[in-house]
Order: sequence, then structure tokens, then C-alpha cells
Amino acid sequence: MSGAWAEVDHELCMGTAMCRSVAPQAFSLGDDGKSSYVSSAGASLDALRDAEENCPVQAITVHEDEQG
Amino acid sequence: MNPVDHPDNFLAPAVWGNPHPYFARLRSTQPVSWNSWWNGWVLTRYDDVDFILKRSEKVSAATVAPAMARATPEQLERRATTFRMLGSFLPLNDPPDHTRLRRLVNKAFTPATVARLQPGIERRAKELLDAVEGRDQFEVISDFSHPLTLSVISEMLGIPDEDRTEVGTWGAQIVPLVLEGRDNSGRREVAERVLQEMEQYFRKLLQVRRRGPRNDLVSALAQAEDAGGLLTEDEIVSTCILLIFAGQETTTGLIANAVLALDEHPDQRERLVQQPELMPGAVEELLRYCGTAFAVTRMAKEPFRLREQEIAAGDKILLVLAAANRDPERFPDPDRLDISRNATGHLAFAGGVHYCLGGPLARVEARIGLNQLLARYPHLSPAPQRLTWSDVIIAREPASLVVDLSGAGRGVA
Repeated sequence: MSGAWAEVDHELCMGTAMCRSVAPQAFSLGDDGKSSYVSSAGASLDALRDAEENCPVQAITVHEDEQG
Repeated sequence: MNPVDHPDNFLAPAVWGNPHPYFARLRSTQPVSWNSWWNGWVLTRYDDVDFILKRSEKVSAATVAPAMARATPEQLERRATTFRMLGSFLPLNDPPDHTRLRRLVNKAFTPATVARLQPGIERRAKELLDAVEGRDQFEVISDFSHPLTLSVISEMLGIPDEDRTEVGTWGAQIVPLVLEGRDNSGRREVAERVLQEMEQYFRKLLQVRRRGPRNDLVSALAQAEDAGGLLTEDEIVSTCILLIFAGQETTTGLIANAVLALDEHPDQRERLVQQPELMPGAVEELLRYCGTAFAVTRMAKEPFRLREQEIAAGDKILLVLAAANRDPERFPDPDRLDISRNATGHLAFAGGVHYCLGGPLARVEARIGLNQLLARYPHLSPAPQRLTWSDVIIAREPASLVVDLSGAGRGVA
């Protein structure tokens, strides 16, 4: 469990699901086919950073503070 | 194959020369329509195309296995390399195979990684324009956009300089097969032979890089194969073939299409000449207006209903990206190129799990290529010529585009 959390910009998200493939616990795809951040329980900061870096449209921002 | 003069044949020169009115009519009257020439459904509305792109549980991109199931034993043998190599092509696979393959190469094409390639791309674009300096005319594709994209993707993969000319001839020869041409005169035989050459080439290069790894993608792929047993050698070779192919055949056409679009909209071109910093937004709008990828193909995995039409399991579906990108419900006044429009959300790179891997690279190449072209030749315009458009369903780009550098031209027929 990390204190980090992530945001997904729905304007940018193209539903590529790369974040789901690198951090399946942290993201889910909604009915619109776009990704949302659900929880960092079970996802390490590394996994979140990996999702941020792998997103082809840079729709994910990881925050290292305690809220979210 | 269905006859060329079939009324649904949108590759007929009378339609394909300017296909937008044809697809605009479909979009407003029959957004989900059966095309008996192509033998499948044609979708033209933004919402529908976007919806289907993101439903990999409903539709499949894996079209090679069904083709193999239909083939005779003799065809399977005659086209063995085609089936084996295209069978592992990323865009022709569904999750979870697709996910496993894509994760391996994804990081090489993220915006952050691609930004580091910028100085090399700028240098190469400048060299190419220096080489035509002093001429009255040049051909955009063979003199500029193709050598530019070829050298960028070759550099990434680690293709030795001395091989690049030959490697650069392969892509165009497999286009009629991979991008759904309809001219059957030998496209399958040519593709089989060229794919064999490509396979042999990359198998050898993978061996060389395994012995002496460098900082390139082929070395990374060779190491990934050794490390995990997660990927077969066929999958790795196929991915190399895909990258060298897609790395050239797409942005090459985008730059040519953009030159034409800017010529049709001289006010927009003038703004870009005056304010090159507008280029990133302009490239998004150019992707929307005239991106190379015209459509993508899917196959229904299960029956479903869409706008009162019953789509059956196994039906082919053509998602017309170019029509979705000109849907007035999504982009007002869609036939006008407006570089200050917010074109975010365009489907030029498709969407969902198959969203173009190379999108970030295409953007950077197009920005640099177009900015340098316009900076050096602000009055560049197409010379008098009759354009021939690529005779394939998946991509639309001119076969060649000669431009006058003085601005005397203006003559596309």
C-alpha cells in the first residue's frame, strides 16, 4: 500500500487499457470504455508510475501525497 | 471477388478521388449500413465508431485465424509465411495475446521516450531538405517524408545504414495485402515473397544483436525473448516486421496529405508560416481532417444490435475513422480545416486497446517535417498533376505528390 494515487484525464483517455494491463488493481474501464482510477490498494507506487509512463496519450498523473 | 463496378465499391476512382461526400451521405442516411461489395457493415458515425473501438469483448481484430480456417491446404502452404507472420501482428490480435506483445514495445513509443528522438528527427529533416535545395520541384514522398520516417524507425530498431535502402522497399510491397487492397493481381504472392525476405532479415539481425546487444529495439526484443519465454521467436520477428512497416507507411502519407490540405486552406497555411508554434494543435487537426488511416476492420464475436441493425457473430465491420472524424455532431463544420479547433478525441489513431502504438512518434515526425517544409518553402504548392490515391481500404494517401517550390504551381487535377 502506498500513499500515492492517480488521476485519469477523461478528455485525453482513448481507452487503450495499458494502465489496466500494468496496474489492474488500480484502474477500471467504465461503460464509456475510458479508464478511471479506483484504488491504490494492492498497487505499488512503481506500478502506478509504470501506468503513467505507459499511457500513450499521457492521460494519467500520479500524485505522491496522501489524499485521493 | 466482387466486380469493380459494383455500386458499393467506394474504391472506384469516382468515389475514392474524394470519398468524403459518399461517406457523409451514409453517415446521415444509413450510419450502420451493409456493404455488399465489401461484404460487411460500414459504420460512419463518431459515436458508433468510438463505441466499437472500445469494445474488444464484442468485436475481434484477429482476422488471420478465420482466414486460415477458410483456406485450402494448398493455400495454407503457399501462404505459410504470411499467415505465420501476420498471425502475430499486434493490430491483428486480441487481448490477452495483444496485451502481452504490446507491453513489450509500448515504452519505446511513449511521448516521453519519443521526445528524446526529436533532435535526430530535426537533423534528418534538414539534411533531406538541404539535398533538394536549389531545385524548382520535388516529390514530397520519395524525396522527403518516406526517407524521413524510414530513417527514424530504422534508427529506433537498429537497422544498419547499409541495409536501409533495401529495407525501405519492403513496406510498399506488402501494403496491398496488409491494408486491404482489392486488386488481386498477385498481391498475395508478392506479400508472401517479401514477408519471407523480411522474416529472414530480422531473424538474422536478432541473432547478431543477441550476441552483441546495442541500445536499440531489436536488441531489447532479443533480450526479452531470452529473459522470459513470454514470447515466441515468431512473435518477436513479426513485431519487428510490423514496426518497420507501420513506422513508414503512415506518417509518410500524413505529411503528403497535410501538404494538400494546407494548399486547399491557404489562410491556415499562412497562419502556420507566421506562427510555427501552432504546429502541435495543427497536427491534431490535420490528423482529424486527413490522417492516413482511413478505416479499420473488426469482426463481431457475438450478435449485437446497433441502430436497429442486427449484427451477427462473424460479420465483418468496417469502422470508417475518416468519416467519424468528419461527423458534424462531434466536430462542427467538419469539412473545414481549422488549426485552432480543439481536435482532441479524433480517431485518426483509432482507440481502445489498438490505439496506435506509434501515435506519439507520428505526431513528432509530422510537427518537425511540416514545420521545416513551411519554414524553408512558405510558398510551396502542388505542381500541375493528376493524383493517384492508394488503392487500399485501410489507408488513403497519394502515390506521389510533386510540389513547386516557388509557389507557381497550384494545379492538382
